[in-house]
Amino acid sequence: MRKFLSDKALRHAVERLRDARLEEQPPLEECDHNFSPRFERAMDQLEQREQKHIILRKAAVFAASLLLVLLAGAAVVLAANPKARAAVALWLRELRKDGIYYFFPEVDPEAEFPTYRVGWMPDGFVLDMEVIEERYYGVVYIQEAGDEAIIFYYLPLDQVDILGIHGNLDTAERISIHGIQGEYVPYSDAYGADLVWIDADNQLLFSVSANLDKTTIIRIAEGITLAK
Amino acid sequence: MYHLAYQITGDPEDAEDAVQQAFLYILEHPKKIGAVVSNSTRTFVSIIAEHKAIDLVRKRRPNVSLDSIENQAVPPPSAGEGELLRALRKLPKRYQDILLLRYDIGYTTGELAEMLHISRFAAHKLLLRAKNALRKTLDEEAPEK
Repeated sequence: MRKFLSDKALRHAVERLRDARLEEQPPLEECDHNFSPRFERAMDQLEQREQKHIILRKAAVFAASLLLVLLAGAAVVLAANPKARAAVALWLRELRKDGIYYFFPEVDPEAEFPTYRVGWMPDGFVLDMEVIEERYYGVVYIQEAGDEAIIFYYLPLDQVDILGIHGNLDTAERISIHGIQGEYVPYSDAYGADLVWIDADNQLLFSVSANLDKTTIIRIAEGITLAK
Repeated sequence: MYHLAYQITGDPEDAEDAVQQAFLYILEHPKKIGAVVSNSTRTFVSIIAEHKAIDLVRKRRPNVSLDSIENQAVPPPSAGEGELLRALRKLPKRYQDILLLRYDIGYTTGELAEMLHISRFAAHKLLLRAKNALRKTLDEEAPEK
């Protein structure tokens, strides 16, 4: 029988674990150590570098403001010229030996993050974990009688630096979820697959991963809908 | 920090390098430090120092097995501790670290992924495994009640 672990109870227990572990650390006098001149020099450099970074960060804020002004100018050109607008790619897709890679150079860091939720799960799977963050949502369902798991997450594209989808590229497919282009990439070493689709209009990336058959994975993906 | 790093690297120079890298990481993640003098901060700094030491051993001595360190058991729980705390203290240290970072320091799955050099999906899976291990330990403890 699986035990239910509430986040509140876990958080409280983890706090006590933290205190217990600290009590087990040796007292400071037993940890006395004379750092080498090499270490002292390195730490001095680190401190100087940090000071420089503070100055650079201030400069970066100015540069970003300037860039915004330039982009605002470019946006006027793009709005007026459909050809110019079409030339700006939201992402770059690259097929490499070890996976399919996406890069997102032109995303909006302030794109809305609407609420999507899972609408259908196969029988025998129960909610195990739900992670709700400001710009990330993830959920894990696990099999009541078994070890399989289904993981769904989605996030805005500005939260993704590089997306790498690894697996058996020979059997990978481009598929469509509610009219949105996606990649279905079976695992190389196990039953199951990753399914990733990117909603360009709303600048969101969705992912479903599971050790299940293709039809079931697609059905889970199609069941994910905007919460009202 | 040095003491913890040295326990892992077994080499004074490597331990100092790990401490330096830990400082660098902490400087880049200042928001994770609330009150400077607090148990949360001490725990955060300790975990970072240990993980930087593990990273360093992996990089410099790839043939050295770190399994014993990563799955290291911590001192046995004492009588009188709550059921959940007892179960937590029976987990391997790497699972304890994940749960501490997530539930005490407030790491997001993205931050866990960055620190452990794994994908966000893998970080999610690791959290799941840590929680499952905790459940299993609780189940095993139950008949003793």
